[in-house]
Amino acid sequence: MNRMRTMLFCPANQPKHYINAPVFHPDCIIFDLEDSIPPSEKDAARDLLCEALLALPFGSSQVCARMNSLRTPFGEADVRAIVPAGIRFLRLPMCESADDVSALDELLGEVEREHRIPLGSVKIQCSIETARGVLNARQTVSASPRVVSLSFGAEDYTRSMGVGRSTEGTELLYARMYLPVVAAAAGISAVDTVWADLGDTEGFIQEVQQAKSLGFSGKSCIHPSQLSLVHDIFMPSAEDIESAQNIISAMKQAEAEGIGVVTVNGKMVDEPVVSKARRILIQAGKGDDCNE
Amino acid sequence: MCKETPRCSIIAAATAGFERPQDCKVTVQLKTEGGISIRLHGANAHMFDRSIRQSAEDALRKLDVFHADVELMDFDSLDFTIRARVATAVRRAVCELQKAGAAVE
Repeated sequence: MNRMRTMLFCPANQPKHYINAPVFHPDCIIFDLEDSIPPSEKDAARDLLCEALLALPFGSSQVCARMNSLRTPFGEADVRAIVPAGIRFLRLPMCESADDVSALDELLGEVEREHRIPLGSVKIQCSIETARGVLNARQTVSASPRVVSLSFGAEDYTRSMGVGRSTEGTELLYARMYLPVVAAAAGISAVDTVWADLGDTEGFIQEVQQAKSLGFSGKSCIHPSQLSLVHDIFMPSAEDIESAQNIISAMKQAEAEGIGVVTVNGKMVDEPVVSKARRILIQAGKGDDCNE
Repeated sequence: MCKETPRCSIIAAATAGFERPQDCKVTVQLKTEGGISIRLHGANAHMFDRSIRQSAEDALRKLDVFHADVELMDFDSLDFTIRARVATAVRRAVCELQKAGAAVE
């Protein structure tokens, strides 16, 4: 798992976003080849992303591409172009079953071998966006060791459920409660859906706070103004960071001394406590990324 | 690409990019002979004439295009954008060639 508090969406066919997005320091910039790109511009967006990957630095931000589904005429072409150009993180849209991930895993293996890229280098984020996708999420994220994250997409999800979207988000509750559990069980991160109403900052903050409390590790964002709010909410408190550092230090010392059980501030430290401490440090940007 | 395409005798043209800031609009016309000709437009294009031409030529060479007329309207685009738009225009032109070839057959 690595730090994934914010994933900033940028349409991949607009040059300005490649220049501007890194300035805002999202944890991840997600260049979109899918929904924001009309079919007539898929080729141009793909070419622009490839050239940008070869030419530009993206600072501290990880770079991800939301590819087109392999069920479309564009998905395979996306992979064959952008992986050799340098992309190492793909969001696979409309993941509904383990077969969807297996198909991508197989294609990635082929492309990696063809271009002498170390096998398994390209990681996958499964985008869960339908009722079927939610129900199959456990199997889907377990289909390949490449899967390091899942994301939730509310627009297509509500369409698949035949319901509208409300400000309260009641219709999303089941999926937003279930998917972080799936992610935690699989040891991967979970990224919440976007908040589209840029004028309703209060509603956005409430939704981000709820996402955090439900166990999401971050949120997909559509505007730079959303980033600092999400970062602040997902930043652990100073006390939590200090406590987590003490736990990790004590655990390392115990390991070095061959001691099986250790206590910190009078409380026993076992694996769940250590895992939680690690997650806090990752969210604080003080942990070791462990994608492998 | 072009030199290996048997239907290169058919001239094809295609456009990519947009007239908006930091972008460029590129039209490529594939030819069978005559080398590369690049015409630049744009308020600041004269300041970066050499760099823009270099990027466009790099993109053409990468796709094995040796005979083409290129018209490039620059809106303060960076090198990666120029290379990408030229590449897209070339691919679209080749696609047109292939369609024309299929129609002839």
